[in-house]
Amino acid sequence: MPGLNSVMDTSLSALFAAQAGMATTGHNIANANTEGYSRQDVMFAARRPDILPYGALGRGVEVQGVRRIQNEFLTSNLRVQTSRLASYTEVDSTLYEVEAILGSVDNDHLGNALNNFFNSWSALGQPPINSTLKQDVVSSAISLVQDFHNINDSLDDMENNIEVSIQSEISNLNQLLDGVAEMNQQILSAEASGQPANDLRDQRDLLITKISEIAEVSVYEREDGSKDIILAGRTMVARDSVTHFASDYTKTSTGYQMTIVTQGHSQEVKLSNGKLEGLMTSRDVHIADVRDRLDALAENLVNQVNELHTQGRTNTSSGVAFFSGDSMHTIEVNPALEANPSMVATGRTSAEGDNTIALAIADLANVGIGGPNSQSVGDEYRALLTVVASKRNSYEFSVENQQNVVSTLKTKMASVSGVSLDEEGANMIKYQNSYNAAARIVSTVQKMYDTLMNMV
Amino acid sequence: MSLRVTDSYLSSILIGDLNRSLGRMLEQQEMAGSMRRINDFADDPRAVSTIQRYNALIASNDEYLSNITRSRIMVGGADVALNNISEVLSDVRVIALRECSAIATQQSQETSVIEVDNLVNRLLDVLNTSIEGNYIFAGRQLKTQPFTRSGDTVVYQGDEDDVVARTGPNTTMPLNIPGNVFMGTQSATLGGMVDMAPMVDPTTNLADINLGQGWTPGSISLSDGVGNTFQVDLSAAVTVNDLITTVNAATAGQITLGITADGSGLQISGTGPLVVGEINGGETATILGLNGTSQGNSLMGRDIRPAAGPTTNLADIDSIAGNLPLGVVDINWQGTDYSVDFSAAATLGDLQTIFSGAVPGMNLQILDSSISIVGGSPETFTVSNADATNTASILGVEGTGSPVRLFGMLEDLKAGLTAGDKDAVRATMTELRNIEDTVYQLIMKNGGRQMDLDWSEGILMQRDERLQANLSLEYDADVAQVASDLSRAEASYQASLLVTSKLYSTNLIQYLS
Repeated sequence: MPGLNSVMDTSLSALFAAQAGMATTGHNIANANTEGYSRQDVMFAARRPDILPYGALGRGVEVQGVRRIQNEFLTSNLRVQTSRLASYTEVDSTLYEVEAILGSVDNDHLGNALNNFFNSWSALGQPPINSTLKQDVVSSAISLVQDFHNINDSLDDMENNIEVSIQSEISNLNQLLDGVAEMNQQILSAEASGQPANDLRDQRDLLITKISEIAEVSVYEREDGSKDIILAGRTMVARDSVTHFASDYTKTSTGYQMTIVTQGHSQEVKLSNGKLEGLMTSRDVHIADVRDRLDALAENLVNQVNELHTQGRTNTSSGVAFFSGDSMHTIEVNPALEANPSMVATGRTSAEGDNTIALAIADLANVGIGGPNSQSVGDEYRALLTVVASKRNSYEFSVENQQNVVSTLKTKMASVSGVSLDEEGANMIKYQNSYNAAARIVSTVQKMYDTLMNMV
Repeated sequence: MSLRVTDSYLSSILIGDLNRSLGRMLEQQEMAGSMRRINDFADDPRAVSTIQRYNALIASNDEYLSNITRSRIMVGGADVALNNISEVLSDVRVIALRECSAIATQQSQETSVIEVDNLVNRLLDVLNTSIEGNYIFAGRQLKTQPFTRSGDTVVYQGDEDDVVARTGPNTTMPLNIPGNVFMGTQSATLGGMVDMAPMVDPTTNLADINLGQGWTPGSISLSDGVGNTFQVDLSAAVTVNDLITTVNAATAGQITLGITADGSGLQISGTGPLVVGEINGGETATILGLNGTSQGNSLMGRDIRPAAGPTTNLADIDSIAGNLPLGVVDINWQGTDYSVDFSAAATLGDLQTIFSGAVPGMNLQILDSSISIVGGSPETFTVSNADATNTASILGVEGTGSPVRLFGMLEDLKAGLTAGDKDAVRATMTELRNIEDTVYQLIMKNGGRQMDLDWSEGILMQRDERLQANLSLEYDADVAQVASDLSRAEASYQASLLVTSKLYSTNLIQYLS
């Protein structure tokens, strides 16, 4: 037969349980807006009963632990999708800049310069022939060349900025890897007692999610609670041991190019998805493609104009090339023409009224030198604009779509792990009532003690 | 399992909604601000290439219009100069007539020598006309004064080449008149005076009409006086018969297309007034010669005949059709008489072949709308009718072919006047007439160029309108649509803000307090 002390003990367990619940509710409310925080929940269980001849008599409640509510599948999927979003966003941002370099529909720098160049030839070839318009042809050619150079320089700047960003992201990544290793160590210490270090785990998961923005990450959780971080197939964090990334330069046909390596090694690491992959793809695929196309355009322009201009002659010259170079970086107006525009040839004879060359060059704006069905310089340029516009449009769509995917996953995560103030309010009332009820039992037991004592 | 609605869940959804509403509003604001449907290339990649191509075409179209304006300076200058030459030649004729008449005296002839000499200088001034430093009678040697005089000798220093202007995407036009035409160095020529362009018939290929300039496939609008309106797509037509069939089928015979009685063009018939117009700024009706309004029940199109060529059937030429078979023409050249029998000729090419075979060294040339006979040397020749068929007259080549010796003729006149030789003076008048005819033909040719410039300018302006309209369709925003979308986006954003503020201020904790 249990005594009043046993009842008091049962009530006290209820008081303690209610206090633990209230404390957890307070913790949840306090962290309702903390990034990466997972709501916590107190696990209650009935104490082992006393087995008496007439049956098992309950002994109250005990707090078995505090757990954090989380869905590992959602977390893992969110990281994968976050990596993709970061990659798409970087490429989209690069294409936006490329588009800005090329101009807008209203202010299409290179397109206008090409039009001005060809129109200046048309004007030069138009009778009455005005030889001073040769200076206009040279000036418009210089302006066109300058536009090519400006675009080339802007693309160079973009590539340099991308490499600065790559270095910055490598530094961020290394710090985050250090952070995970540090958290592993703290969690190992904190969980030595057997209880999970919920808040530390939240902080570690937040660091891993931030890593996933920079590169797609795989996580392996050891039995001791530490997590290994695996990037591009390499284990970069194992318990508290970290391997860092670094940048290196490899020689290419046009110079040196930055690559990502693991510290102490020179073998290039190919990261998948994430900001770093987006930056590398922007540089190596998208900017390179635009550069290749513009180089081909410049080379084509040089070849086509020279093909015609070298057939021309003036009173003082013949067979003079108009341009030199074979790319947007190297294209230049023949310095001899800059110094002496009268060497600009309008015809195949020195007759001032022979405008066959001028008209043929003006026609290059719309007709390729290979005939009516060959692609003109203008067509090539418009094809380039369409390619850039299509890519950007496609990446804009991908970013928007991926944002929706990430947003949906975050919303689901928030539904599972997020703090609901309504729910916490209800819990607060529940624990308060539970506490009040337990206290009332204590009070009743006290009265029973008083009654008993008064009987003595 | 029911969904847990947490605060972060709510804020995630609400912030997403707000961002979407704000994004839509900004997009509409950008459109409203620029009045453009597309501002960045990525807004509509499909349209980018089209828009930039339209922009390039509009820029080159502007350049062609500017070329035409500049071309008018050259052609206008040539027109003034040729009319001045014509006036000088009239003065020469007056002097020659006076000095071979009975009233001529030695003194008047001596005075006339001075007058003619002054006229030579006037002619030199006119023929050395330059525009913006370009000599218009110098061929391609635009910066070289073409005619110089040393004593009684005038030397031509230009060349025989045309200076051409680009007046359209695929068209060039010669603008000048090389001065060698006045120097007598060319072969003697007798220009035909009869129009040889063949009549339009159902089999006429549309690519050949307008003296070979062809047409622009497209659609036309037709309406009549009883309220019928039709839009007919003629793009697939290849021949005139295709046009006729397509129009008559589309209008169910209420408005019919046919060929004019004289075969010069097309004709629309129906209940008047009939109106033929373009669709979407096209140029098809104009090029088919039909654009216009009739007062009566038929609308006669302008002349759209094809160019004459070696394959042109003589039976298809209006002026020859009723006079077949042709007969014999006599030629006298270099003291030899030749008879050319054209009776077996069925085409203009046959005329050429028969002529070359009968008169070695001379040629019959086929021009766009006439023929001419060219001698193989500057010596004059005569062409005359040999029988009752009057073939030389029918072909428009009866007369004397001679080189144009402008200054040579004037020197001969001066020599005749100086010698008091009235027969010699009279002899120069025959050559003077030939020169006057040549100048007249040059004036006509130059006038034709002015008309061609007008025609090209009209086409280019229509092209510009069409390009601008097409560009606008691709590029410009629909103002009403943008305004409506913008206010809807604003309303959506405001609603999102309102809902957000309400939801954030509502939770159980606040009720408990």
